[in-house]
Amino acid sequence: MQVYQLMEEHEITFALLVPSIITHLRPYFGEIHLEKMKYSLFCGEALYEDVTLEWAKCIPNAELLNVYGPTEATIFCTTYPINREGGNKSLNGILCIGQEMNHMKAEIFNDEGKPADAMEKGELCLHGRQVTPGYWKNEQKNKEAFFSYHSKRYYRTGDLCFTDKDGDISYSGRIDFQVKIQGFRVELGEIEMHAREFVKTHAVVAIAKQNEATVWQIYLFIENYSDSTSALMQHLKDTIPGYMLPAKIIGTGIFPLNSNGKTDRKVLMEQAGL
Amino acid sequence: MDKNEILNQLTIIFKKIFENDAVILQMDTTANDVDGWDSLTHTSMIVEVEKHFSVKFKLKEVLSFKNVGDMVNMIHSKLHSV
Repeated sequence: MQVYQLMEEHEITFALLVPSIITHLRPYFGEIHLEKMKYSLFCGEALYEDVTLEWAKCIPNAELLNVYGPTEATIFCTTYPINREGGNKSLNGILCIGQEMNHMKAEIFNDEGKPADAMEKGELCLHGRQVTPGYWKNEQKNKEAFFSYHSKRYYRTGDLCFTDKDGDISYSGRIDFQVKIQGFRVELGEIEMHAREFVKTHAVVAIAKQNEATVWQIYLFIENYSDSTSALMQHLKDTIPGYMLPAKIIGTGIFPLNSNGKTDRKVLMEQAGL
Repeated sequence: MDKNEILNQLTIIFKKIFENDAVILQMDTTANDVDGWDSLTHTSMIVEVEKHFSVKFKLKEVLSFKNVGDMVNMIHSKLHSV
Protein backbone atom coordinates (compact mmCIF):
# COMPACT_ATOMS: atom_id res chain seq x y z
CA MET A 1 0.00 0.00 0.00
CA GLN A 2 2.90 2.32 0.71
CA VAL A 3 4.16 1.57 -2.78
CA TYR A 4 0.92 2.97 -4.13
CA GLN A 5 1.23 5.99 -1.86
CA LEU A 6 4.72 6.65 -3.24
CA MET A 7 3.53 6.32 -6.82
CA GLU A 8 0.68 8.75 -6.25
CA GLU A 9 2.47 11.36 -4.12
CA HIS A 10 5.54 11.54 -6.33
CA GLU A 11 3.60 11.17 -9.58
CA ILE A 12 5.85 8.29 -10.59
CA THR A 13 6.13 7.80 -14.35
CA PHE A 14 8.18 4.57 -14.42
CA ALA A 15 7.55 1.67 -12.09
CA LEU A 16 9.23 -1.71 -11.98
CA LEU A 17 7.26 -3.98 -9.67
CA VAL A 18 7.21 -7.60 -8.67
CA PRO A 19 3.75 -9.01 -9.45
CA SER A 20 2.99 -9.68 -5.75
CA ILE A 21 2.69 -5.93 -5.25
CA ILE A 22 -0.28 -5.53 -7.57
CA THR A 23 -1.83 -8.71 -6.18
CA HIS A 24 -1.88 -6.98 -2.77
CA LEU A 25 -3.29 -3.79 -4.27
CA ARG A 26 -5.96 -5.64 -6.25
CA PRO A 27 -8.80 -5.12 -3.72
CA TYR A 28 -8.27 -1.36 -4.13
CA PHE A 29 -7.86 -1.13 -7.92
CA GLY A 30 -11.20 0.70 -8.14
CA GLU A 31 -9.69 3.58 -6.15
CA ILE A 32 -6.36 3.75 -7.94
CA HIS A 33 -5.88 6.11 -10.85
CA LEU A 34 -2.29 6.96 -11.78
CA GLU A 35 -2.52 9.10 -14.89
CA LYS A 36 1.14 10.11 -14.82
CA MET A 37 2.45 6.56 -15.12
CA LYS A 38 4.08 6.04 -18.51
CA TYR A 39 5.78 2.67 -18.08
CA SER A 40 4.77 -0.19 -15.83
CA LEU A 41 7.22 -3.09 -15.86
CA PHE A 42 7.04 -6.39 -14.05
CA CYS A 43 9.74 -8.90 -13.27
CA GLY A 44 10.86 -11.41 -10.69
CA GLU A 45 7.82 -13.66 -10.63
CA ALA A 46 5.27 -15.23 -12.92
CA LEU A 47 2.88 -12.49 -14.08
CA TYR A 48 -0.78 -13.39 -14.45
CA GLU A 49 -2.71 -11.79 -17.28
CA ASP A 50 -5.98 -11.30 -15.40
CA VAL A 51 -4.60 -9.13 -12.61
CA THR A 52 -2.33 -7.29 -15.07
CA LEU A 53 -5.23 -6.25 -17.29
CA GLU A 54 -7.14 -5.04 -14.24
CA TRP A 55 -4.05 -3.06 -13.16
CA ALA A 56 -3.88 -1.56 -16.66
CA LYS A 57 -7.13 0.28 -15.97
CA CYS A 58 -5.45 2.03 -13.02
CA ILE A 59 -2.70 3.36 -15.29
CA PRO A 60 -4.57 4.43 -18.43
CA ASN A 61 -1.59 6.16 -20.09
CA ALA A 62 1.11 3.58 -19.44
CA GLU A 63 2.81 0.97 -21.55
CA LEU A 64 2.97 -2.39 -19.82
CA LEU A 65 5.90 -4.74 -20.20
CA ASN A 66 6.74 -8.11 -18.77
CA VAL A 67 10.51 -8.29 -18.46
CA TYR A 68 12.59 -11.29 -17.49
CA GLY A 69 16.11 -12.03 -16.44
CA PRO A 70 18.25 -13.36 -13.62
CA THR A 71 20.85 -11.46 -11.60
CA GLU A 72 23.56 -13.55 -13.29
CA ALA A 73 22.65 -11.93 -16.62
CA THR A 74 22.22 -8.42 -15.20
CA ILE A 75 18.45 -8.85 -14.91
CA PHE A 76 16.70 -7.72 -18.09
CA CYS A 77 17.19 -10.18 -20.95
CA THR A 78 13.77 -10.63 -22.53
CA THR A 79 10.70 -8.46 -22.81
CA TYR A 80 7.08 -8.88 -23.78
CA PRO A 81 4.85 -5.88 -24.54
CA ILE A 82 1.46 -6.43 -22.93
CA ASN A 83 -1.68 -5.49 -24.82
CA ARG A 84 -3.95 -3.81 -22.28
CA GLU A 85 -7.00 -4.91 -24.30
CA GLY A 86 -6.13 -8.59 -23.75
CA GLY A 87 -5.38 -11.41 -26.14
CA ASN A 88 -1.81 -11.74 -24.90
CA LYS A 89 0.20 -14.92 -25.14
CA SER A 90 -0.01 -16.85 -21.89
CA LEU A 91 0.43 -20.31 -20.45
CA ASN A 92 -1.77 -21.39 -17.55
CA GLY A 93 -2.72 -17.72 -17.22
CA ILE A 94 0.95 -16.67 -16.92
CA LEU A 95 2.03 -14.04 -19.44
CA CYS A 96 4.71 -14.85 -21.97
CA ILE A 97 8.20 -13.38 -21.31
CA GLY A 98 8.68 -12.44 -24.94
CA GLN A 99 11.89 -12.20 -26.89
CA GLU A 100 15.50 -11.43 -26.09
CA MET A 101 16.73 -7.86 -25.92
CA ASN A 102 19.64 -6.52 -27.96
CA HIS A 103 23.03 -8.10 -27.20
CA MET A 104 21.46 -11.12 -25.53
CA LYS A 105 20.72 -14.59 -26.84
CA ALA A 106 18.08 -16.73 -25.15
CA GLU A 107 18.18 -20.40 -26.12
CA ILE A 108 16.15 -23.33 -24.85
CA PHE A 109 18.14 -26.55 -24.37
CA ASN A 110 16.30 -29.86 -24.15
CA ASP A 111 17.03 -32.84 -21.88
CA GLU A 112 19.70 -34.01 -24.31
CA GLY A 113 21.55 -30.71 -24.05
CA LYS A 114 20.64 -29.68 -27.59
CA PRO A 115 18.72 -26.59 -28.74
CA ALA A 116 15.03 -27.39 -28.44
CA ASP A 117 12.60 -27.20 -31.32
CA ALA A 118 9.73 -24.74 -31.31
CA MET A 119 7.16 -25.68 -28.61
CA GLU A 120 9.60 -28.18 -27.05
CA LYS A 121 10.19 -27.52 -23.37
CA GLY A 122 13.65 -27.23 -21.93
CA GLU A 123 15.91 -25.09 -19.81
CA LEU A 124 16.23 -21.45 -20.76
CA CYS A 125 19.91 -20.55 -21.12
CA LEU A 126 21.37 -17.11 -21.70
CA HIS A 127 24.39 -15.96 -23.66
CA GLY A 128 25.70 -12.45 -24.18
CA ARG A 129 27.72 -9.68 -22.69
CA GLN A 130 25.34 -9.19 -19.79
CA VAL A 131 26.17 -12.63 -18.41
CA THR A 132 28.44 -12.54 -15.36
CA PRO A 133 32.03 -13.89 -15.61
CA GLY A 134 31.04 -16.20 -12.74
CA TYR A 135 30.46 -16.59 -9.04
CA TRP A 136 33.29 -15.20 -6.92
CA LYS A 137 35.61 -18.01 -5.82
CA ASN A 138 33.00 -20.71 -6.28
CA GLU A 139 34.27 -23.04 -8.98
CA GLN A 140 31.81 -25.78 -8.16
CA LYS A 141 28.84 -23.50 -8.68
CA ASN A 142 30.41 -22.06 -11.83
CA LYS A 143 30.76 -25.56 -13.29
CA GLU A 144 27.10 -26.24 -12.60
CA ALA A 145 25.70 -22.92 -13.79
CA PHE A 146 27.73 -22.18 -16.94
CA PHE A 147 28.54 -24.22 -20.02
CA SER A 148 29.82 -23.76 -23.56
CA TYR A 149 27.97 -24.65 -26.70
CA HIS A 150 29.47 -23.94 -30.13
CA SER A 151 32.09 -21.74 -28.44
CA LYS A 152 29.47 -19.62 -26.74
CA ARG A 153 29.22 -19.40 -22.99
CA TYR A 154 25.73 -19.88 -21.55
CA TYR A 155 24.18 -19.42 -18.13
CA ARG A 156 21.61 -21.99 -17.03
CA THR A 157 18.60 -20.14 -15.59
CA GLY A 158 16.89 -23.17 -14.07
CA ASP A 159 13.66 -21.99 -15.71
CA LEU A 160 11.60 -24.38 -17.80
CA CYS A 161 10.48 -22.62 -20.97
CA PHE A 162 9.57 -23.10 -24.58
CA THR A 163 9.66 -20.92 -27.65
CA ASP A 164 6.64 -20.66 -29.92
CA LYS A 165 6.66 -20.35 -33.71
CA ASP A 166 6.98 -16.55 -33.45
CA GLY A 167 10.05 -16.81 -31.24
CA ASP A 168 8.24 -15.73 -28.08
CA ILE A 169 9.29 -17.53 -24.92
CA SER A 170 6.79 -18.86 -22.41
CA TYR A 171 7.70 -19.62 -18.82
CA SER A 172 6.50 -22.97 -17.55
CA GLY A 173 7.94 -23.07 -14.05
CA ARG A 174 11.18 -23.74 -12.24
CA ILE A 175 12.98 -26.92 -13.21
CA ASP A 176 13.51 -27.53 -9.48
CA PHE A 177 9.75 -27.57 -9.02
CA GLN A 178 9.15 -30.22 -11.67
CA VAL A 179 8.02 -33.49 -10.20
CA LYS A 180 6.98 -36.84 -11.53
CA ILE A 181 4.03 -38.47 -9.84
CA GLN A 182 2.97 -41.97 -10.84
CA GLY A 183 5.26 -41.58 -13.82
CA PHE A 184 3.60 -38.38 -15.05
CA ARG A 185 5.36 -35.04 -15.16
CA VAL A 186 3.26 -32.66 -13.11
CA GLU A 187 3.03 -28.99 -13.97
CA LEU A 188 2.35 -27.11 -10.77
CA GLY A 189 1.33 -24.07 -12.80
CA GLU A 190 -1.53 -26.04 -14.33
CA ILE A 191 -2.86 -26.95 -10.88
CA GLU A 192 -2.58 -23.30 -9.85
CA MET A 193 -4.44 -22.18 -12.98
CA HIS A 194 -7.39 -24.49 -12.29
CA ALA A 195 -7.48 -23.44 -8.65
CA ARG A 196 -7.47 -19.78 -9.68
CA GLU A 197 -10.48 -20.41 -11.90
CA PHE A 198 -12.35 -21.32 -8.74
CA VAL A 199 -11.02 -18.88 -6.14
CA LYS A 200 -10.87 -15.97 -8.62
CA THR A 201 -8.89 -13.08 -7.13
CA HIS A 202 -7.05 -15.00 -4.42
CA ALA A 203 -3.39 -15.75 -5.09
CA VAL A 204 -2.53 -19.45 -5.35
CA VAL A 205 0.70 -21.39 -4.97
CA ALA A 206 1.20 -25.14 -5.46
CA ILE A 207 4.27 -26.69 -3.87
CA ALA A 208 5.50 -30.26 -4.23
CA LYS A 209 7.39 -31.98 -1.45
CA GLN A 210 8.49 -35.52 -0.83
CA ASN A 211 7.05 -37.15 2.27
CA GLU A 212 8.92 -39.52 4.59
CA ALA A 213 8.27 -42.39 2.20
CA THR A 214 9.87 -40.25 -0.59
CA VAL A 215 6.53 -39.97 -2.36
CA TRP A 216 5.87 -36.56 -3.93
CA GLN A 217 2.86 -34.75 -2.56
CA ILE A 218 1.35 -31.47 -3.69
CA TYR A 219 0.22 -28.78 -1.29
CA LEU A 220 -1.99 -25.98 -2.53
CA PHE A 221 -1.96 -22.64 -0.71
CA ILE A 222 -4.70 -20.04 -1.17
CA GLU A 223 -4.01 -16.51 0.05
CA ASN A 224 -6.51 -14.79 2.33
CA TYR A 225 -8.84 -17.73 2.18
CA SER A 226 -10.91 -19.03 5.04
CA ASP A 227 -13.75 -20.68 3.11
CA SER A 228 -14.17 -24.43 3.10
CA THR A 229 -11.74 -26.09 0.74
CA SER A 230 -13.97 -29.06 -0.10
CA ALA A 231 -15.73 -27.27 -2.97
CA LEU A 232 -12.36 -26.27 -4.42
CA MET A 233 -11.12 -29.85 -4.11
CA GLN A 234 -14.23 -31.03 -5.94
CA HIS A 235 -13.59 -28.48 -8.69
CA LEU A 236 -10.04 -29.79 -9.06
CA LYS A 237 -11.28 -33.39 -9.15
CA ASP A 238 -13.56 -32.36 -12.02
CA THR A 239 -10.81 -30.64 -13.99
CA ILE A 240 -7.44 -32.32 -13.46
CA PRO A 241 -6.24 -35.94 -13.34
CA GLY A 242 -6.07 -37.70 -9.99
CA TYR A 243 -2.27 -37.76 -9.86
CA MET A 244 -2.25 -33.94 -9.95
CA LEU A 245 -4.64 -33.48 -7.03
CA PRO A 246 -3.17 -31.79 -3.97
CA ALA A 247 -2.76 -33.84 -0.81
CA LYS A 248 -3.91 -30.80 1.12
CA ILE A 249 -5.40 -27.37 0.42
CA ILE A 250 -4.39 -24.71 2.91
CA GLY A 251 -6.08 -21.31 3.28
CA THR A 252 -3.60 -18.79 4.68
CA GLY A 253 -3.28 -15.08 5.40
CA ILE A 254 -1.17 -12.87 3.14
CA PHE A 255 1.62 -14.90 1.56
CA PRO A 256 5.04 -14.26 3.09
CA LEU A 257 7.49 -12.52 0.77
CA ASN A 258 11.23 -12.96 0.69
CA SER A 259 13.71 -10.08 0.61
CA ASN A 260 13.20 -9.80 -3.16
CA GLY A 261 9.47 -9.34 -2.75
CA LYS A 262 8.66 -12.78 -4.14
CA THR A 263 6.35 -15.29 -2.49
CA ASP A 264 8.47 -17.23 -0.01
CA ARG A 265 7.53 -20.88 -0.61
CA LYS A 266 9.82 -22.20 2.10
CA VAL A 267 8.22 -20.01 4.76
CA LEU A 268 4.75 -20.91 3.50
CA MET A 269 5.53 -24.59 4.05
CA GLU A 270 7.04 -23.93 7.47
CA GLN A 271 4.04 -21.88 8.56
CA ALA A 272 1.79 -24.79 7.61
CA GLY A 273 4.00 -27.20 9.55
CA LEU A 274 4.93 -29.08 6.37
CA MET B 1 -20.45 -1.51 19.79
CA ASP B 2 -18.44 1.12 21.67
CA LYS B 3 -14.80 1.97 21.07
CA ASN B 4 -13.54 0.00 24.06
CA GLU B 5 -15.20 -3.14 22.77
CA ILE B 6 -13.75 -2.53 19.29
CA LEU B 7 -10.31 -2.15 20.88
CA ASN B 8 -10.78 -5.40 22.82
CA GLN B 9 -11.76 -7.28 19.68
CA LEU B 10 -8.87 -5.76 17.75
CA THR B 11 -6.55 -7.01 20.47
CA ILE B 12 -7.77 -10.56 19.87
CA ILE B 13 -7.21 -10.18 16.13
CA PHE B 14 -3.72 -8.76 16.67
CA LYS B 15 -2.78 -11.64 18.99
CA LYS B 16 -3.77 -14.06 16.24
CA ILE B 17 -2.12 -12.20 13.33
CA PHE B 18 1.12 -11.47 15.16
CA GLU B 19 1.08 -14.82 16.99
CA ASN B 20 1.75 -13.08 20.26
CA ASP B 21 -0.56 -13.45 23.25
CA ALA B 22 1.26 -10.65 25.03
CA VAL B 23 -0.03 -7.96 22.66
CA ILE B 24 -1.78 -5.17 24.55
CA LEU B 25 -3.36 -2.51 22.36
CA GLN B 26 -3.94 1.09 23.38
CA MET B 27 -5.44 3.84 21.25
CA ASP B 28 -1.95 5.30 20.71
CA THR B 29 -0.26 1.97 19.84
CA THR B 30 1.67 2.17 16.55
CA ALA B 31 3.46 -0.33 14.33
CA ASN B 32 6.67 0.43 16.24
CA ASP B 33 5.12 -0.98 19.41
CA VAL B 34 4.19 -4.42 18.05
CA ASP B 35 6.84 -6.93 17.01
CA GLY B 36 6.32 -8.13 13.46
CA TRP B 37 3.92 -5.34 12.44
CA ASP B 38 5.30 -4.56 8.99
CA SER B 39 3.70 -3.64 5.68
CA LEU B 40 2.95 -7.27 4.89
CA THR B 41 1.39 -8.27 8.21
CA HIS B 42 -0.43 -4.94 8.06
CA THR B 43 -2.22 -6.14 4.92
CA SER B 44 -3.12 -9.45 6.59
CA MET B 45 -4.38 -7.60 9.62
CA ILE B 46 -6.55 -5.23 7.56
CA VAL B 47 -8.12 -8.18 5.73
CA GLU B 48 -8.86 -9.91 9.04
CA VAL B 49 -10.27 -6.75 10.62
CA GLU B 50 -12.55 -6.10 7.64
CA LYS B 51 -13.82 -9.65 7.81
CA HIS B 52 -14.34 -9.61 11.57
CA PHE B 53 -16.28 -6.35 11.70
CA SER B 54 -17.93 -6.77 8.29
CA VAL B 55 -16.63 -3.41 7.15
CA LYS B 56 -14.65 -2.35 4.08
CA PHE B 57 -11.91 0.25 4.22
CA LYS B 58 -11.02 2.45 1.30
CA LEU B 59 -7.36 2.52 0.32
CA LYS B 60 -6.99 6.13 1.45
CA GLU B 61 -8.54 5.25 4.81
CA VAL B 62 -6.05 2.42 5.33
CA LEU B 63 -3.18 4.73 4.44
CA SER B 64 -4.46 7.38 6.88
CA PHE B 65 -4.17 5.13 9.95
CA LYS B 66 -1.38 6.47 12.12
CA ASN B 67 -2.15 4.35 15.17
CA VAL B 68 -4.64 1.83 16.50
CA GLY B 69 -6.92 4.64 17.67
CA ASP B 70 -7.40 5.84 14.07
CA MET B 71 -8.50 2.35 13.12
CA VAL B 72 -10.84 2.06 16.11
CA ASN B 73 -12.42 5.42 15.23
CA MET B 74 -12.84 4.41 11.60
CA ILE B 75 -14.44 1.07 12.50
CA HIS B 76 -16.72 2.81 15.00
CA SER B 77 -17.74 5.37 12.41
CA LYS B 78 -18.51 2.69 9.81
CA LEU B 79 -20.47 0.52 12.24
CA HIS B 80 -22.61 3.47 13.25
CA SER B 81 -23.06 5.07 9.88
CA VAL B 82 -25.81 2.71 8.77
